[in-house]
Amino acid sequence: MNRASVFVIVPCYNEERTVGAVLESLLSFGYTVVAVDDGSTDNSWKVTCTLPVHALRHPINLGQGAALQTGMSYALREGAALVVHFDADGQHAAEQIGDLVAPILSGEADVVLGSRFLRKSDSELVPFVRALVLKAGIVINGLLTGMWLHDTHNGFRALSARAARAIRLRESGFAHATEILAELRGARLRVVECPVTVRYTEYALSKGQPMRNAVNIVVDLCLRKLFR
Amino acid sequence: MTVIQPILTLLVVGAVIAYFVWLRSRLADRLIVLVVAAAAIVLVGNPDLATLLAHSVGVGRGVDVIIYLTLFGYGFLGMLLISKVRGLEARLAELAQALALATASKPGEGSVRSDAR
Repeated sequence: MNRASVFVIVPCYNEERTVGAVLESLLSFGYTVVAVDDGSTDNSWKVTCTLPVHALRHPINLGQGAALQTGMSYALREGAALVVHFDADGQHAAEQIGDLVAPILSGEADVVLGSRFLRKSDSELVPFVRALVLKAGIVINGLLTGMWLHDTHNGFRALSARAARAIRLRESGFAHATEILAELRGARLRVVECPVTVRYTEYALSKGQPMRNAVNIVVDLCLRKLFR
Repeated sequence: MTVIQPILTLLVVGAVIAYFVWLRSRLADRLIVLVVAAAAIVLVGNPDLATLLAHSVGVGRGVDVIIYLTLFGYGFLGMLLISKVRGLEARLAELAQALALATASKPGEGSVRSDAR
């Protein structure tokens, strides 16, 4: 695998504490890194600009889905063979990208979704309340998209260029994770899941508000259904 | 509660959802607002019409029909506004994304991009 043809998209909003280390870890593996700053008001953009990455910046905060779409449009324009979605808060591990893209490289799949619940050692790391909310999300996603997966709203995923070109994210907020599934299903792409480890650091946990996010996601999805 | 009330409620909710999901157009939005405004003027000028209308659909008082219609009107306008705001948000997002793509910088262009912000 030519790692430079793998474009890792890192959406970033006010992650000055972690974004530098995350981008450096990706660069150390030889991937092409596309950092999309989503209108950060802290020093995230300054940190990003000091590193040898492809850097894009939204003039205003639009949400993670919009940042991913911007990154994918850019990566496709630059000739990416594969794109990987990767969080900027340090939850994902760059060394697992190889496992994530393997099914695409072997021709087995068009899209690989990272899952926290395929291995016991990974699922044990998920805090109890978060696991409950995620399980509820799995049911809601299944009902809305017809795709019954082991994990949803996991931001670690890989897409072939063909798959990235076939989908278009319009949902700016967190509901984009469900939108991606609906788009993948609509485009009849082959989807597989791959076990990944999500590191719940103190920092990541301090930022995450699973209940509030869950309510926001459900409201966004209802609005999306109603106002397409 | 009379039998007709839940049926009417379901019909109105179904009609609103169907409208926003499948039937919405700019012309239809304007026509509905005009029809609601015209109905309001007619009912203000002819209160007995409201009572007649109320009796014809099984509701006791004309004022109740007006309250129901008002609630429906507010609900419709609320959804219309949400729809318009979402449309504007989508267009704003497209604009911001186009700007980000137009000003993207590649590795090694650090001085250019830090100057540009």
